[in-house]
Amino acid sequence: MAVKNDDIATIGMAMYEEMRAEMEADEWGRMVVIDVNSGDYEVADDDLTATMRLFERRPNAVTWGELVGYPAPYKITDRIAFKDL
Amino acid sequence: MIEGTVIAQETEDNNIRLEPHITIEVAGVDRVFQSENVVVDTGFTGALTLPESTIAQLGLTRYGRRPAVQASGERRMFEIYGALVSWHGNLRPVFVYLSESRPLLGMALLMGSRLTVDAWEGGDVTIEEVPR
Repeated sequence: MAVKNDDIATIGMAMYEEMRAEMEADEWGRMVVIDVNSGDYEVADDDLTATMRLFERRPNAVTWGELVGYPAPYKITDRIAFKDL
Repeated sequence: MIEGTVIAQETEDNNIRLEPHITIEVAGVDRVFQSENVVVDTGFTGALTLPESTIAQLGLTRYGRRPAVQASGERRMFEIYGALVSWHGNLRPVFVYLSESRPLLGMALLMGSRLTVDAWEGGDVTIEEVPR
């Protein structure tokens, strides 16, 4: 069953936690992109590359991504307004 | 070369904030381009933010969600979409982050270019391709 929108972050973070130790040992500073439906993932130097590679295998992927070793893959200024997700 | 202008915005507390504005051409997979006025924001590490209405008009493909840290340290979630930006005569694939702020252009799109800002009202903004 496809993951609901509201669960993408929760499931993505849980999946990343499972692989975090291994990733931090081998892939520090690289981008991990996970398909939250299948658990399949890709690692690359940047988000776009990892995501596109994953979509070649999983055209219906819904992805979550983390930058290995860092608090988040992106930094933003406080001027950005969010829709609450 | 991409050219724009510095616009002075008055903030709620009556200060003046200078914003470098440029216009870019953005499209989805159908390659029907639309002009978007964006604020250059070097504090944003992603490529581009657009509001939901523009993302819907362009019919952008959604790829999932990503976390981002604010200056305050708080982690927030973005919806991400794929788009093409016309950039120095090429089509550059980028991720667009859904945000209801005015559209922002960040460092991921500027990577490899030279940004020059004449930081006064009406000043020139230029983004040049620099051979390396």
